[in-house]
Amino acid sequence: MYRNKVAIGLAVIFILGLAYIVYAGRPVNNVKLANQSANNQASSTELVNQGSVNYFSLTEVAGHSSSSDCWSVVGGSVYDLSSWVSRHPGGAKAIISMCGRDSSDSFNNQHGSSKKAKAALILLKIGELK
Amino acid sequence: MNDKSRQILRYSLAGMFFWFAWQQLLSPSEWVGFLPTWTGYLPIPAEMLVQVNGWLESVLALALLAGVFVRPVSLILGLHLVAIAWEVSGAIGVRDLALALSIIALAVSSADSWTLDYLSKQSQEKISD
Repeated sequence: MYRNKVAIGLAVIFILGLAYIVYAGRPVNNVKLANQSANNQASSTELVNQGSVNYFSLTEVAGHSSSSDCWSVVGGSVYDLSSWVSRHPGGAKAIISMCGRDSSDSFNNQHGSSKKAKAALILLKIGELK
Repeated sequence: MNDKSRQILRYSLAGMFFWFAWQQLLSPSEWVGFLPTWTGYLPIPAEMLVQVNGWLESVLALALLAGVFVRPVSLILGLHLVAIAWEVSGAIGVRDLALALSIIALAVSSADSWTLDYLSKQSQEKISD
């Protein structure tokens, strides 16, 4: 049946597209993209790139302090929280207050023992603090 | 609902889903804000979730456009949109619920004459004759 062939073709297209989206969007790419973006600004910032790990200074992090471009430091690692601002169960304000600074204390006070919060945070990691 | 009405409904809804799906694929960061908070605890990055949703809607919209399994595809898209309407709520939720009910109307009617479902049914009837 022609209809069944079209349906199977669409299913194959869906699976191939899904595989591409998962491959291209895997968390390791966050680090690569942040690396590329930071390298473009390397002359004007205090970025140090050593091997495959990105190192950012606090000055660099402070340059990303808005709700739409929000980087923060927790426990010595740098996270891009931009996509998390609107999804934070405790409201956007709590995340916005963390943008552009070392917010280890805020995070540990609120979520110190929460595995869920740590698992959500790890997906947003883009590097380490220099 | 007559044949022409079903055709118009099917093409317009397929076009709508296709447009929104491609917006999600091309600019996922603009759609992240619509994700419910519980998705933050899934081990999947937000932008990837938006793109997966956009890709699913694209393929289902193509199926609707081609008229392949129109009733089950309409039901899936309708229920998907009901869930979105429930999550979004407010004025946008009311609009989405109306759109969801429009597509569910397709799921409860028979396939129109411009679908592959209809052609398939016709050829089966010819074979059985």
